[in-house]
Amino acid sequence: MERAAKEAPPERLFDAFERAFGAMWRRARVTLGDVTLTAILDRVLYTAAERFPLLSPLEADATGLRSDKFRQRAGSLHPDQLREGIRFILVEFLTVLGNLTAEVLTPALHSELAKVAAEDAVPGEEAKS
Amino acid sequence: MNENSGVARVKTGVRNLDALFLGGLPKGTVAVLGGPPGAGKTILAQQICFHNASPETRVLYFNTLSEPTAKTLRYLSQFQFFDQTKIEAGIQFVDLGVILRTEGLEQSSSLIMEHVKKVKPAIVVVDSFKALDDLAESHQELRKFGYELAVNLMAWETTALLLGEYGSRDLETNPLFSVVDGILTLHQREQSGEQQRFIQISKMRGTEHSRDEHSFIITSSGIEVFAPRVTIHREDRAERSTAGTERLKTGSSRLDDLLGEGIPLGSTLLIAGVAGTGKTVLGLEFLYRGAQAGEKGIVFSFEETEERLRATARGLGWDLDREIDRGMVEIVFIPQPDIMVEAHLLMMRERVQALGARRVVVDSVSVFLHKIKDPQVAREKTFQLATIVQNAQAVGFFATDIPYGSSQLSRFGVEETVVDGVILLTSSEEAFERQRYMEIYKLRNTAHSKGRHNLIIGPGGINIFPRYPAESAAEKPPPPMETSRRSLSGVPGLDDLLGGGLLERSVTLVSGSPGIGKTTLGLQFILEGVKHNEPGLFVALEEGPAQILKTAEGLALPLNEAVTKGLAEIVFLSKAHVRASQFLAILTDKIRASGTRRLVLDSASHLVTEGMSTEELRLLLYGLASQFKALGVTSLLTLESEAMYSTDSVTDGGFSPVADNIIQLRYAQVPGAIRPTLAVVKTRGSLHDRGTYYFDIAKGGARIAERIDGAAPMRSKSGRGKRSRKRA
Repeated sequence: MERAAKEAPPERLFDAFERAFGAMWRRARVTLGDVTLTAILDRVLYTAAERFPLLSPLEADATGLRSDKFRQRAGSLHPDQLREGIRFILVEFLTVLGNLTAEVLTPALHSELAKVAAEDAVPGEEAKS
Repeated sequence: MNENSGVARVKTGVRNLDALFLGGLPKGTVAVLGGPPGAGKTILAQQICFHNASPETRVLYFNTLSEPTAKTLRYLSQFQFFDQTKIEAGIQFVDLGVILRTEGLEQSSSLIMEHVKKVKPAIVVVDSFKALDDLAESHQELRKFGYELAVNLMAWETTALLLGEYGSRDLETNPLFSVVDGILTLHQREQSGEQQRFIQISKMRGTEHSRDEHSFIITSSGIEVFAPRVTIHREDRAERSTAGTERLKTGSSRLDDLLGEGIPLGSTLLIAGVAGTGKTVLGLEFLYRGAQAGEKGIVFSFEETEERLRATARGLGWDLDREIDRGMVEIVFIPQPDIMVEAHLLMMRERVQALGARRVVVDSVSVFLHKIKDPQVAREKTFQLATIVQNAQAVGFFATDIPYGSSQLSRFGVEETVVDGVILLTSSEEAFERQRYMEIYKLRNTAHSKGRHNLIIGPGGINIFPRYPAESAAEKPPPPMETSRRSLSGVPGLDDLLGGGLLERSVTLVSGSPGIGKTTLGLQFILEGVKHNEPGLFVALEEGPAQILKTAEGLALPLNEAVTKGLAEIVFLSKAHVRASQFLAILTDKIRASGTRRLVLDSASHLVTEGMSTEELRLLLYGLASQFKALGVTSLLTLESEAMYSTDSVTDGGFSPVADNIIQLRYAQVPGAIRPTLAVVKTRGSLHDRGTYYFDIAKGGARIAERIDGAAPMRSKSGRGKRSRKRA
């Protein structure tokens, strides 16, 4: 996923991020519920926006990540900045969830991420890796 | 689940409180701190905040409608935990009052989270959350609000304390209590005649915790929790050591004699007795002797002030002041009205540890626990006291007042079950005097003396007079008497009758009618020893030394010369001043000090005091005989016989089995006069002549004359006198 992200345009990169985050959200929601997960995402986004102001249009609600406002600006963002920002969100989300659940959910979330990465991978490149 | 289960902890900074959660509040806990107004909720929360606050560990303190922040800060500044420098950098106070009044619950929640996001605090306090409760229009709204706030605070990994005037009813009905992770309640009520504050943890997710009530106080230092049930527990190391062999000698020689090989370290002994039996003096002497032996000691006194205890010690001739000055003894006086059992238990533990005390006296445990009505609680507190002693590997003497006329061993009747030993002090009126007694009632893992032992309190302290000699309790019996080692009697002709003299270390009873010559015989026995440089001790119970010397002089016996040379000593023990039960100890000390080899007790009959039975005298004589033998002394005990002529009874009182040898002196009627006679009734391990001989006394002392039946003495094979063989 990291490799794929390196050369992808911002829109495609963000699509990949949304798929990845969505997979984690769905898995975590089963166990933690909307309210808890929304609160955690709210914290993660708040912290991410402090460090990467370009991420401030992202919002959390009971369905997960709301990115309508962000998508309007995504095309104009520098890919490196975007890559760093969404990487921060993923890592921070996993970290906070890990802290709060004593890492009980972490393997399952990593597994979800791996599935998304596998789906996103170009067949030829996947074979190489 | 334990402290190491991986859940990070927030230390409260409140003394002994963390122990109730096995190390502190689980990090991220959302806990309710409930209790009525004035219970100490705000102080507790603030103490926790100030303990943790720093630029890295920030605290958000939300005030609601309950108390203006300005007042909170003003009162807060009086506590020692308050640190002005932590305000803002560490702790931020936020007043939610206006928002609550104008915007309601939802906006308040948003505002709280807005601050949380900005500050990213480790700890959040809402004081009071009950004010938010009251603004909720329904249970549903309150539950939703509480749940969402709890979840949001959880998401930020903050530890939150929600304060409120919650009562026990709220535990069942308030939806908030099912949302939060922990519930701590503070309250106060009357216990043991006093208003006391208590803290209780009803619920705390993520950790084991105590569920009991624990008392606490609020001082200028803040809150101090007392939880001896949790904080005072027996250490494994101490448990093992107590079962081991390390023992302590009290330093009082005769008490140590009674206590066998010593008191195992870590043990506690109850010193039980009614008022005036010597408990305080015993405890004080225990400390004083310990200090002299280089062992530090501490006394917790609840009745006698330090000055009074010092004066008591001075009155007994002890330089306790010096031991206190050089740090060997500490006196901690706690006035009875000021006793707070749980608080003082912890204080005692600290003082014992700080001093490194090897000896701990509590005087008295019955006063210390006097407010406690429940015997089981008294038992628990006594156990905790004993635990302090055990963990310190010290020895404890806990005085306890027994109710008058009771058969109990302690005030509450349960304390003796948790201690390792009981020393019972009693007193009784005898011959118009009150006599004190000591009994080692119980001492675990130790072979100790049994029975009651007389004691007196006087200059030097407690003087115990053991009923039984320590030597008699020795594992090995004294070696048998050797027939080749004999002590000559000093009475011409008598040794032939005895088979060559008295066996060394033997005990001889001389039973005789009044005025027949028992004392003379005893004096000659002593003086014969003097000839062989064997120190002799003449113990007189009837006559003083001057009279004895005069008697000897009248018989031309060189007693005065022997006394002058230091080879003979006359000791007068007045029956009026010395109790029968004290003789054994007094004579033991004397024999040890003088290196006595021969001893005369004249007469043993005078040991009898009013109320003493023949059986008691027999036991006493048995004790004396055993002790003399054990100390290597050849002894001669005279006994007064009421019979002038009769030989039916040897000793009147049936004391024959006590002695190795028995010599009977009786009068015989001759025409116009009576004449003393002597018969050897019994010798152990020797042949002896069973004939009755005249016993003449003249200048130079007594001597054996002819047989009263006119027959020739029965000569032995050696030609010195025929002896009848007798099985030893």
